[in-house]
Amino acid sequence: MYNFKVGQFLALIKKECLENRNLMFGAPAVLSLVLFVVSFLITSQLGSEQIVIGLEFVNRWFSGQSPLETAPIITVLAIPFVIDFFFCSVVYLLNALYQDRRDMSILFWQSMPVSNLQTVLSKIVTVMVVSPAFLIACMSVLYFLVIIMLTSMGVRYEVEMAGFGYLLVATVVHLVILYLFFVTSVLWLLPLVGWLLLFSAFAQKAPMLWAIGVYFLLGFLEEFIFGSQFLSNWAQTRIDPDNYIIVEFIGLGDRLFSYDMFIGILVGSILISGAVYMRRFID
Amino acid sequence: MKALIFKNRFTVLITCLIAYVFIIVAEGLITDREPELLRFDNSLFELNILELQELAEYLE
Repeated sequence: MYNFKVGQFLALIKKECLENRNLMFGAPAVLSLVLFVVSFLITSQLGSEQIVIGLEFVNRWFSGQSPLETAPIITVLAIPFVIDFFFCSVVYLLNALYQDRRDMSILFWQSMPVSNLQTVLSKIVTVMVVSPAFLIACMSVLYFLVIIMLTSMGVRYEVEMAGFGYLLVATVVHLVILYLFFVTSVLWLLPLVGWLLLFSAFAQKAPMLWAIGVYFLLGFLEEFIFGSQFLSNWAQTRIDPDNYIIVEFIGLGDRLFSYDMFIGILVGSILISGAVYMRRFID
Repeated sequence: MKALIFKNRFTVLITCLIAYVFIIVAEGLITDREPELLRFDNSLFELNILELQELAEYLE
């Protein structure tokens, strides 16, 4: 049985963060910066009357509103970050077990007192818990800067700013919901995570082509031989955002403890086990 | 059996894929999950390839 040590595991997660800092921290940081610069440029192009109308609208709209009710609306602003997260996660997972085999650093890591299970689990925890935390940190800075910008403009143009306090609270609630959304969506998409890790551990070249190609091949064979579409239907159900997008706290428990979530975790666990055993075979 | 599964990475992959396909197909059969891939709905028009097949059969 594996000897699981917390210190070792945290060291593995730290290694993942350092090795993939561009994907986990760099990409959301650059995106935040770009969005801030774009919003600043747009604001600077507006006339003073338009700015006053906009500020009064924001103030009136948020003033007296419950943060729990307004937080889901702010979620629309997070769409670029959600796309960034999923894109970076797919790239990370495809390279997670492939890169160290390619540069042969796997030989070094396997000489260390770290099991294959710990290595693979550290990558899953990184993509499920750590990477969203970095993303939320970047978003917090961006939102904080935007709220400061709005407040300073409110002072400058003498617009009442009671609504900005509510906006700040709604933003904090929104960030908490968004973090929970990232964690639950990775759980929901655990079969995809397992699939990508399996082919990351298997492929000698081009893991993305293997991952996509084998899935299409299996779907084609199922359709051709049995005339059924269970695989494609399963993939469609898993990928459909309606099944895992969360914009409020209500219904979160139902989604976490549902049959679909359970079966997804089961299937994902099988594929992840395959990725762990695949680590035994070094090219 | 264990020696066969862990013989090389291809056998591990094939075992995983068999387990994966078996669970999904069994789950699909038990829950009677309907294939929805052929249906494509949006606000502008509705496309159902199954209906097109029925139309082709009717025309024949």
